[in-house]
Amino acid sequence: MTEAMIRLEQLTKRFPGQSEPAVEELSMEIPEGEIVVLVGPSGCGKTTTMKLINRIIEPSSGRIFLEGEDVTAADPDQLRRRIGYVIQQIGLFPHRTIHDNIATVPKLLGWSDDKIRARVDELLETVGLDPSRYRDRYPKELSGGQRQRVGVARALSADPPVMLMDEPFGAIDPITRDRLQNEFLRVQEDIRKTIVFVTHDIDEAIKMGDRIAILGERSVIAQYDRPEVILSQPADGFVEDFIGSGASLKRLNLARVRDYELGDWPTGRVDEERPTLLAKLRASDKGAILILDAEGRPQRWLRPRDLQRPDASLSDIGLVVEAKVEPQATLADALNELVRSRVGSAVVVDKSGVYAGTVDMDVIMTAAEAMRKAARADARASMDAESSAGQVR
Amino acid sequence: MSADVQTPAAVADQPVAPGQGLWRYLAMPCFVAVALGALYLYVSSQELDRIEAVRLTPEFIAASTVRHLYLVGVSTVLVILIAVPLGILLTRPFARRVSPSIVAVTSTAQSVPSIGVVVLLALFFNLGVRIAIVALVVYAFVPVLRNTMVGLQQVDESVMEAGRGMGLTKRGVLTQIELPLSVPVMLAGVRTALVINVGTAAIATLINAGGLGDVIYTGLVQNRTIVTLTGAVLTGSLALMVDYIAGIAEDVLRPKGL
Amino acid sequence: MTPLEQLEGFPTYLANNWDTVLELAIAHAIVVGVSIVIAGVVGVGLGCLTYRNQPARDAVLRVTGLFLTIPSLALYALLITIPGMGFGAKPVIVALTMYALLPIVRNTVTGLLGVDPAIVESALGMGLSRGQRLFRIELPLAWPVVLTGVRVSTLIIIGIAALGAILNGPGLGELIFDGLGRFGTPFALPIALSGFLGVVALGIVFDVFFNVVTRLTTSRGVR
Repeated sequence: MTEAMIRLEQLTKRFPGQSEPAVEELSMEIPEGEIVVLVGPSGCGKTTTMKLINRIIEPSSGRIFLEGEDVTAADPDQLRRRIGYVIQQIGLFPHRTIHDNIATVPKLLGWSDDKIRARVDELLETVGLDPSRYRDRYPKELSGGQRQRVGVARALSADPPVMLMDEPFGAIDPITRDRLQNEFLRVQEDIRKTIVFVTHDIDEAIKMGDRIAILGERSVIAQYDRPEVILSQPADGFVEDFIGSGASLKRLNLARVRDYELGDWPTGRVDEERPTLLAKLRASDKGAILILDAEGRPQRWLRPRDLQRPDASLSDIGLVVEAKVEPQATLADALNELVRSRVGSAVVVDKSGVYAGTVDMDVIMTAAEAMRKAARADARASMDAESSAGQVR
Repeated sequence: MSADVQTPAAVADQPVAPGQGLWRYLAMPCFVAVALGALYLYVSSQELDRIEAVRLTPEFIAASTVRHLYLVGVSTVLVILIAVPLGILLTRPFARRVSPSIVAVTSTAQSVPSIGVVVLLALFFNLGVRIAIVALVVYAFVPVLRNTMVGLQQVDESVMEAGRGMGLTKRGVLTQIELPLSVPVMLAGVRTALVINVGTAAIATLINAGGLGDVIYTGLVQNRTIVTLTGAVLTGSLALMVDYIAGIAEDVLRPKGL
Repeated sequence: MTPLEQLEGFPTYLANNWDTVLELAIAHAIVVGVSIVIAGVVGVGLGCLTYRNQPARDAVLRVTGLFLTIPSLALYALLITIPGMGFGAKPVIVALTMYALLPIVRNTVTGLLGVDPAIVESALGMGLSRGQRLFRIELPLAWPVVLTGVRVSTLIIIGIAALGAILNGPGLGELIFDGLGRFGTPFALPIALSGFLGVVALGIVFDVFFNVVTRLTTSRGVR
């Protein structure tokens, strides 16, 4: 790690009329290109801490460095134009179109109209909204999830090196939230921004964070580390309580589907003959065969008795494939899907919907076992390190 | 007049049923046209005596109407020029402490009688058009100030925070977010002020400032019902049409997307 | 005498004529009180009858809004051209009642529509009839909003009542017109000012009165 993207030095914030500071002597470094999640119980000062970085709240003392430059006393408006900002309420300007919302900062920076327009369309594509459909709409004409995407696009508009996100998915229904989280992670793989992400939800923290800072009262850091370390070696009782039970289940949030060997189910194409399909199915130990369309996208699950019905067309029988996940989804997502699925398997599809494999219980079990082993090895290694350090002293 | 902004969304923003749209815009002009037409037919069917005839000449009525509009126009422009900037000033952070009490006082101020303001100013200074305009400005000041302040205060905090977070300057937040978003409430205040001014300008006749009140008042004093009626219908029609046009202006000027 | 010198005579004037001022203030309050009672009954009634029916509700709000748009001098003048109306308190009360309707109807409708539908549904589930639901559940819950409407109406018509003196209507407006009639004489300003301040004071008294009434008549659970 070279120079950190953001460095906070002994930041303190006292609000007038309060005896205790909201943030006390906080120092931390946020490395370039990572998502750092600030997580903690409500009222711990995590949001205040985040707002100190773009000086929506001015620190009482301490210093803030951005890309090595001390910005504690810089012009706050200029500073904020270098930092993307997404809040839970989104705060889209209701009187401006989606295009104009996203164009706000580029306009402030004096970009040409053509450049702005191209950038807006590019960003809408990035967050999965069709520019020609949504560009000229007003925020009230969008759903909550779509508004959140626009909020993210707006924060990215001037390609700032840093983004601050305050519970960005907090006000969205759980299913949409999962989808937005996954999409955002996929976008982040391309854009590699330095992101400070605030949430009160430890599961979201584990899923989103490259690093997690667990904050206690007055924003004091209880532990700041990679999620797998926090899960396997909580620093103290506070962290342990905050993680709660089921650490091994939570660890599934850390594992991405693409990182594991996927299960293989028999597949066939809609245009194949029934006996061929039945033979393929019989050759495997599975109870159903997955039918793909001409482009290789999963269509239906067919069981032997479905194949024995000669009357109906292949595209009308069997079970519709509902449990689908993308490769960047976590194993927790996949587990969730496969529990819902009637064949006990979640189908993995790539970006264009083409079949890539399946996740079933075996895949999950293998992954969980591997993670448990790794965690145990980690713990032993660090214990060894500590005891050897003791011997040296 | 509905300067109180307690009107909840449920009543204020009823969607207009399909087919009702055009009727909404035509109803008022039709109503006023019918009232004026009926008045004209009635007056021309009557035998007028000398006093009545003098008061009901087209010249006298036209002059009174023009004077009335002049009083209303000048005073409304002045009110906007004074009350809107003051309202903006009183909602800036340094005035945050006092602004709620100002809004509260403006609510009680509704019981101040317009006739009292007009008469006292005249007794204090003089009769005439200029003092009448001062009185109109004083009396219509409160709803515009109040609605400007309330309009600015009701702007969603999170929208402003998003603006600041993106690096808009304080001035940028004011001109690009706060003001456009408070336009509907401010316009409602201006509309209220216009209607109030049409009414107060009718009283201006009592301090020799002319206007349609002249027609009403001479009718009352000289006990000529037909003159009183003419003045009343004309003043009422003027108020309804001013309110109607202001309503259309509200619809047109409201930022899209709200 | 300059206006400022006239103002110095105000305390003396008030000390010598407080009984007249008080008498007129009471007359003013009675005219306003009668109008607001009539408008209250009619307005709340109209609100209760129409709040569930959007076209009817819109029509009532539109018409009462129209009343409020007509300048007071014009409405007074229109009313006295009606045969049998005559001068005095009658046309003033009619006009004030018309002016008071919109805020009362609007707030009644708003208040009733603002009642949590779950509460109404549970009342329905317990077998309360339509009337019982309205009088035992919805109106009590909407009451603070309704009262606010009544208060706003009262404040508005207190001021408008002053102009009623032009029709020989009773009240403090008489003093304002009296002062204007004495334009240029030493007592013009003190007389008009006593009328004006009397109206303002009456407004404050009514405002306080409504605050007390709101406190006393609102269920503690919704305060």
